[in-house]
Amino acid sequence: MGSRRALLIAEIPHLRRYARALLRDPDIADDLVQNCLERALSRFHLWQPERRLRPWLFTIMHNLHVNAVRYRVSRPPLVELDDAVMPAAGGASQEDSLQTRAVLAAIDELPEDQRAVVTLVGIEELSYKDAADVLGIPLGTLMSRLHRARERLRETLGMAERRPAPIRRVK
Amino acid sequence: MTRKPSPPISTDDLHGYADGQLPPARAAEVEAYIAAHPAAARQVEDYRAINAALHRALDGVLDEPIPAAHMDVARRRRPRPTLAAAASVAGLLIGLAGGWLLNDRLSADRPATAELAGRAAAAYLVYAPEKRHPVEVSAADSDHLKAWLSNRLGMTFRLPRLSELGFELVGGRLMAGNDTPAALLMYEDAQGRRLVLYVSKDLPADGEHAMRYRRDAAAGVVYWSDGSNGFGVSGDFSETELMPAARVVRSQFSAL
Repeated sequence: MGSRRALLIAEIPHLRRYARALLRDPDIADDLVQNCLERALSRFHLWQPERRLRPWLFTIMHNLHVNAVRYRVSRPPLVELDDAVMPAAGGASQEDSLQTRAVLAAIDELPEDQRAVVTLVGIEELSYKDAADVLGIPLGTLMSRLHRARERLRETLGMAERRPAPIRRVK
Repeated sequence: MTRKPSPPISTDDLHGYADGQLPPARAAEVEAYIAAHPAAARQVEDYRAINAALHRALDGVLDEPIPAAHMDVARRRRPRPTLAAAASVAGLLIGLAGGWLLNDRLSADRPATAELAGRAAAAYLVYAPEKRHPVEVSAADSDHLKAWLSNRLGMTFRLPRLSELGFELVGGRLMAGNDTPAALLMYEDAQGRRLVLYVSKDLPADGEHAMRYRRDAAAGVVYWSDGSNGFGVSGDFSETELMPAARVVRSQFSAL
C-alpha cells in the first residue's frame, strides 16, 4: 500500500503540468488534479501494477475534464498569460520567454482535442498508443489530430512560411 | 546494399521521428529521406521546436511544491467526501466520537440518503438470517438476475464481484423502494457471514453524495448516492470491513 501511494505522489507533478496545459488557470487546473486524485484513490484497487500508472491516471483526468467541459456552460475565462506561465526552469532569455508566451497563446487557440494530443505527446511524452488510449480514440485519429495540431501551430507561430529555414538550434 | 522495399515515408513517420517513437530501422530511413527533402526536414525541426517550447513553458510546474490538498488526498486512507459539506464532515466526526451514534441532525446528512441507509440495514436484518429463502433468484441464474433487475429498475444493473474480498454472490431479489422498485443482492463469505447490497432509484437527483458509514445495534451500512441512484452495503461488519466492498460496488456502478 505504502509503495502504491508513493507512486501516486510521484505522478502528481505530471498531472499538474498536463492540467495546466489544458486549463491554464492554475487554480482550476489544480481542482481538476484534486478530483483526479480523489477518483484515482477510490479506484486504486482496480489499478493493476502491470499497467503503467501515468496513462491510467491521465485517463481518469481526461474523463473528468471532458465531463467538466461538457457540463460547464461556458469556458472559464483564460487568465492573463502573466498569471499562468511558470517562470521557466533555469534562466530563460527574454527571447525564450517571448517564444514561450507565443507558444502558449497558440496552444490556447487550438481546439480542445488537438491541445490534449499535442500536450500528451509533446511534453508528457506518452507513446502514441498510450495517448490514444488516454483519449479513448483510435491510433489513426490520434495521428491525424497530432498532425493538424502541429501544422496549425506552425502556421500560427509563423514557422511554416519562413523561407529559407533559419538556423535554429534544436536538441 | 539491398533492402526490402519499405513503405514510403508518411507524415506519421515525420512525427514519429520528431518524437523519437520510431523503431531504429525506420528512423534511419526517415533520416535518409529528410536529408534529401528540405521541406520534410523543416517539418521535423518545427515539430521538435514546438515540443521544446512546450517544455520550456510548462516544465516549471514540475518544480513547484505539491499543494497540500493534493498530498492530503494522496495520503488519506479513504477518499474525502468530495461533495459533502464541511459541516457534514464535522458531523461525522462528532458521530464517530459519540460511538457511532451518528445523529442525522448534527451531521447535516442528506435526509434521503440517510433514509436509504436505514432501508439497506433493514433489508439486511430481514433477509440475511433467512436459511431457505434468502433470495428470489440465485447466483446460478445470474444472467437472468441481471436482466430482470435491469428491466425492473430501468438501469444497467451490475452484479459486482466481491470474490477477492471473500464474498460470493448468493443471489438477489426485487424490493419495494419508496416509489419505484429497488433491488437487493446478497453475498456470503466462507464462514457464512452475509452482507447485502441495496439499490434504489428513488432519491432526489441532486448530484453525487460521498460514501458514509453508520452503525446501529445489529448492522453497519456504507451508503452513498449518485444522482437518483442510492446504494447501501450493509452487514454485521465494521467500517473497515465494509468499505472495500462498497468501493468495488461503487466503481462498478459508476462505470456505467
